[in-house]
Amino acid sequence: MTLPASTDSDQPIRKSAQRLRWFVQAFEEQAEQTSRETGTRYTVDHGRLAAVFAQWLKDFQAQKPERDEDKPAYVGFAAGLMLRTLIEMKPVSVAALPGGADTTNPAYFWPEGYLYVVFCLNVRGLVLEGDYHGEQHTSALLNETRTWWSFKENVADDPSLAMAFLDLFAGDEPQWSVPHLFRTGRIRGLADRFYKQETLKAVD
Amino acid sequence: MREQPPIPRLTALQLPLRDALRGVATLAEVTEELLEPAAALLPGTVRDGFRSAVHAIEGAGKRLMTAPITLDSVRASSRVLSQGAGDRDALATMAVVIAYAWEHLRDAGHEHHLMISETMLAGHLASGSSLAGSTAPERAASLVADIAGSAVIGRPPGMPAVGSDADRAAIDTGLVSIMVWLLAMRAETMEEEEKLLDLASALVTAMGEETRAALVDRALLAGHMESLAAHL
Repeated sequence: MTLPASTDSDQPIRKSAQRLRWFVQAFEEQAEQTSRETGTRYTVDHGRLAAVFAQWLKDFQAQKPERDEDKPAYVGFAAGLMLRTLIEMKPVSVAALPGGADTTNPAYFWPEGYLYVVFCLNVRGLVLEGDYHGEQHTSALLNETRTWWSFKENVADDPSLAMAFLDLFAGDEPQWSVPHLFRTGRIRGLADRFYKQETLKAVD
Repeated sequence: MREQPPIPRLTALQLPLRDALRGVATLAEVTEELLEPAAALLPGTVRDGFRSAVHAIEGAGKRLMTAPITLDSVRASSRVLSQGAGDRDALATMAVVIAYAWEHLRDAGHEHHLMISETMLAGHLASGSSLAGSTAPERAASLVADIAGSAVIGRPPGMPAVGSDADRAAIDTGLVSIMVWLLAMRAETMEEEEKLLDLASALVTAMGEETRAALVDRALLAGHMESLAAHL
């Protein structure tokens, strides 16, 4: 993904990403690129996109950590918050699928969800790489239709599970229990001893 | 060969004339809406003639009522907020920019017929009382309260009255959007500036609950607008 130019050349990407102008441009560019690659035509509701950003900003600021060592982990959490908000507020609809689209391919099985996931993964990876010299190694599950069935069904029941699924797709350890609660490094170690791992709803 | 006489060029219209045209365009728009049920009773050719006449008046008014603005005038208006009261020219420019932004947002789909008087706005700004405060967000909050509490924006005479709460909400949302836009980091082109103004409006609308809560107190409003501008 090609990111829009930073709104200020001295700003890290994570700061630019907290501006609506950058978010809208990046999302539009992602939608165009995904359309070129898949042949799916999307319609974007810009009013809803602004509402997504506003809701995400409120959620983002509510749990923003103060300790520097927690900030890289918060990048993944913030990307998950964005995916949850996109899925809840549905700013995109599909205008047309290409002829003969194979609906067992995740890109056509759930085209809107596919666009949201690709956007969030791309921004997540670029912030980690650009601002924290980290790397994102996406999982092979990203291309597995069975995982997408589970993803779509689970987030329909509980949109917060989108945050855990994004971790899964990004190759990180998902936090299935209370995924919308950010745990600092110290709290995460303690919490893992108390929260049991929930199993995903099985989809046959 | 005889030299052709120079073709007179249209110059920018003066302030009160632009306000008069705003009234004409707004009334034409509402007249068509009000007479829509009656228009259905007219024969087709008469109805079409009536509609063309109203559209011609509305279109001519809209084309002439908005003074063109430039990147420089937007930047000058932004500087008035950041530096406090500017000279007379800067304040007059700011009145033009705010009126332009108001018309732009209205044309972008805000369903109201509220008219802004550039003449009265210029007078308010020139008096200096509108720009109280020591920071840009404080001055912006002062300007919102001052304009909203005045008759600078309202329904022109002859317009049907609707609920004052709806008008008040539309005025508050429009003014806060314009101030958030002027407080934000400037764009590189006029096209981007107009898009930024639309985004400011979308952001203020999406943060409607927080904006309504902030409007009760000038300091709260200043902080709220500063935060929105930082995220625009």
